[in-house]
Amino acid sequence: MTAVAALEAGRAVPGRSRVRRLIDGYGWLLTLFTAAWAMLLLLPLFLMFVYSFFTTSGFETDYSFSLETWHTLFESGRWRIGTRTLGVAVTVTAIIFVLAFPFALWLSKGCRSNGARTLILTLLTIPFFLETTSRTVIWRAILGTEGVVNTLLGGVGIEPQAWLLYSGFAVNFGMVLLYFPSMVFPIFMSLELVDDQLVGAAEDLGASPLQILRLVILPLALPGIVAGIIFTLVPTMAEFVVPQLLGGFNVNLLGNSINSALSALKYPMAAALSAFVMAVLVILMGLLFIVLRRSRTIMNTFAEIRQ
Amino acid sequence: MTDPDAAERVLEVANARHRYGDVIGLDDVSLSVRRGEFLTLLGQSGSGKTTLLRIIGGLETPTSIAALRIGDEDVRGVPAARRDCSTVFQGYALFPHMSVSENVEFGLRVRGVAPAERRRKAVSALSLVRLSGKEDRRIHQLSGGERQRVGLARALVTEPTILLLDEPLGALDERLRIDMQVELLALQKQLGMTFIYVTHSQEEAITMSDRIALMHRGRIVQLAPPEDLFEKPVNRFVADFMGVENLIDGVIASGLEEGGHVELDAGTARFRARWTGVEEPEIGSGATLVVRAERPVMLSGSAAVGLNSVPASLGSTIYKGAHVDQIVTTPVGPMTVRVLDRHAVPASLSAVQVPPDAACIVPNRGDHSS
Repeated sequence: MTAVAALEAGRAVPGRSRVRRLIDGYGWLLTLFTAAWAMLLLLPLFLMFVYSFFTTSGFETDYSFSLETWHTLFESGRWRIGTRTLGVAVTVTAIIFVLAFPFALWLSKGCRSNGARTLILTLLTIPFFLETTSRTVIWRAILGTEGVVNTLLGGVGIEPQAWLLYSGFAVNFGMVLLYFPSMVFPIFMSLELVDDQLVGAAEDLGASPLQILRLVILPLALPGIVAGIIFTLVPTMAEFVVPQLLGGFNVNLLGNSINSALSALKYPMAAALSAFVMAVLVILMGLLFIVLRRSRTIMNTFAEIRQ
Repeated sequence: MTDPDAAERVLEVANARHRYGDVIGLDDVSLSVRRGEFLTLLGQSGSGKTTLLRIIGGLETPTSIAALRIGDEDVRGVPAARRDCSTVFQGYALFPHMSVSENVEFGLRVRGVAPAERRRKAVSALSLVRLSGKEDRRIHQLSGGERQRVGLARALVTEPTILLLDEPLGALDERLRIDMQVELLALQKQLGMTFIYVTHSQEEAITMSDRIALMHRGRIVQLAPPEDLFEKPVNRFVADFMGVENLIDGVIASGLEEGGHVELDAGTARFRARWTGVEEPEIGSGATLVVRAERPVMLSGSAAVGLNSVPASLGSTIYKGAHVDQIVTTPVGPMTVRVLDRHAVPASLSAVQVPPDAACIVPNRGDHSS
């Protein structure tokens, strides 16, 4: 360090806050974090992609480049599992949104009792402490032919309903239940950020309740809605516990295919399926952002939140 | 107070009461406003002024109210969206996801006005508040003063009969506030619109209002033109709130004389002045002499000390720029006497005299309704 630089550094330091200096001094931490993140997240993704170009013979992986796995994926019709999974994920996400948005709106703007609100928020948090499998498997005892629902139905003379379990209905039902809080929370948070005075102002200016919802609340809650959709859609695309437990062998989704490919030690096939899911998700998110960009609103909302 | 007659009455509130749980927000408030009037609701926070404004605007439903009419329409139970009035909010309440113009157009948009037409009206409303050329700015790019102008344009653009302003200048700095006061006043005269203005600043209320409703603990203590609040306060609270400098407490010593005068016994001195309380003075009841600093006369030499005079000696002198406040010490406490420059203060001050018509005597109970 030259004398001049030392002098300058010495002069610069007292003017800065300690926090500022700490951050400046630890700039390498950011570099380290970025590097670690890339190594831990991006590299495995890349490796997975690479693996999908290998093949399996016997129970051994053949490490030579081949398109065979991808070929099999499409030839055997396994890719249809992808589109079916997408269908289920989108349906489940849509059902959850239709239920969660009005609920979050009521919780944030309609619920006048603080006690009730705290209770509901706590109840919504409980599922995060429980493990998925046990939470899901209990529905077998409720929805099964010998289950609670059918016993009750039998009591009033209705035949046991077999479609309640090991069916598309059971899988949709289980997933809606599982991911409802993931949608409610981000939407609730973003609605909490919408100033009540804005709602009052809109009303004062002559807006009907529906206009207030469409022109003020929805655009301002959009970041939370997008987050809610992502937090629900992505895990439902990869979900394998619910279809396995409540779908029996009747509902086979991508998550299950990947799981069974892994059990059979077909790593390249598992990799190809995973890469396929990734590709579908990337395309979906891309579409989502193109739609939102058009409306311009979300960008402004983000800009407003950032300042 | 003379009630505006029915023809030019634009707002009528009768016996409005409001409670928040156990707290009384409004306690039997009645009010009548003339078309084109600038009426200020003045009071400390918690006095009920904002509650009253929100009840008029429909953003709050009163616990009970005998009448609430805007123009000829009974608006009790009518939602805010369908009342012929708009509000300018203290915190601006601008929509952050809309441009300046979209904010101003909002009221027209929800009424189904065509885009071209509402843009034209927004442009003209924005030029009215001197924000031409900023139509496409984002809200977060504007200064506080500019934001409040947008709020004003947004409320004006639908041409409501009454504009409700809830401490609109509260968040602005001193200089900007004074500029905006002048501008608001000019705008109100230009549009001939009725303004109901909420503030806690007596200086702001005096500058702008045709009439002031001074509120305290959910009641209107006095409703009168600004000069009357100074010259004819109905009680000690009004005089004190309006910033009258000299308040001398005592008891009523005589009945009401011809000419409306009454005598006050302040212990070591007696004063005769106009009685401006609402009810007849009662001998022996607590009262206060109210004297503005401009009014006392400083006497020197061997002036006679008697009724309306107290012996006085010089205290500190406070230079206020445009004038000088001379503090004088008297047996009834320190008094402030305002003079134009310090040469007007006699070096050999011996007494201070309060001319009977330059002061008034009021009951010193807190808040009697007028």
